[in-house]
Amino acid sequence: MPKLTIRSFATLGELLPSKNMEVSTSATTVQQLIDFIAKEYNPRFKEQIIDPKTGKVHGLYKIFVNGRDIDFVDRLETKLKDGDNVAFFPPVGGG
Amino acid sequence: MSLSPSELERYERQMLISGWGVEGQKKLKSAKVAVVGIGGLGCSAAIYLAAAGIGKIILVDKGKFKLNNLNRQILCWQRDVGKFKAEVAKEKLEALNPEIEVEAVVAEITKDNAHDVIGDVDVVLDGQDNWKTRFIINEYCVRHSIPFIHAGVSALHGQMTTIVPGKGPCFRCIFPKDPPEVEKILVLGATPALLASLQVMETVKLVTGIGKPLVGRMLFANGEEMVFETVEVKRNVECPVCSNL
Repeated sequence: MPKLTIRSFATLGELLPSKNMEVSTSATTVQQLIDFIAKEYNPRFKEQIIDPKTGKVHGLYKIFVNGRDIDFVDRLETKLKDGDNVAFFPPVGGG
Repeated sequence: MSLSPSELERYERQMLISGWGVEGQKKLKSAKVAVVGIGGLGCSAAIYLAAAGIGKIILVDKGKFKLNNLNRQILCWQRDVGKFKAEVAKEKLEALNPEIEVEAVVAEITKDNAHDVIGDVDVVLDGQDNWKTRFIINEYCVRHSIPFIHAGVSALHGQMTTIVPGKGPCFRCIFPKDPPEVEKILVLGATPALLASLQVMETVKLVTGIGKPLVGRMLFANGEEMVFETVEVKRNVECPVCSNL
């Protein structure tokens, strides 16, 4: 089964067993990966990231696949393959 | 440009750093750096820029100090509450280092006035507390090929990256959508101080040519768990701001 590295930052990381973890999953898109994480680890992870009204990523969060913002690829339908590195983070804007 | 005997003494400890020396210090003396926003980030950054000997520092902020700024905006002392931030900061920096030039600009940066307010500088440091102005500054910096060192903080967390137009992603490449603004950001003073110190390190590196700047990487600082990580960030070939570079 393909292995993915998941890195989650700031408050998001607290919802998972580890902020930096490797998972074996059949998920082939970012949406499927988020569903997998919600089922296997914590449903709140998905509740935080996905806006239930639109089904899209909440404006507060960013998701990178191998350093590339999924907004520039195929958003939640961005494809994943073995060895990919997926990073979730909420940017903070205070100064 | 030469260094005076007092400058040679003042900067002695940093000039001993490998690759720095008198030549590196002269580069700092010749450098012009703008700090846009004199809040938690801007106050700490400005102090270390002045202490390091940046020859000209431009401080931009339209606001006045308030009592609830004092936990983090360390150029403001009790007696300065109610005074313009940029002017107070200028006074303190000149007292710290009379061998540099400091300019206070009391203004809000807009698309129309960015050139007049920031001007022709070598580096811009992000001291903003809102996303909208950061995007305006990014556009200005990309247009004029000026490195822009971004940082943002909340509570005990922060992120930063160094934008060198044409060499890595710009701010709009990284944030294609404007993140939502937060009205009242929670923050411990040590958090912007930490990120501001890193911004100054990046500035000094860019000016002197020492080290490897944080271009194409975003650093995340998690003060709650004392974990520092970086994630790669890439250019967007269709970026509306920098794709022409």
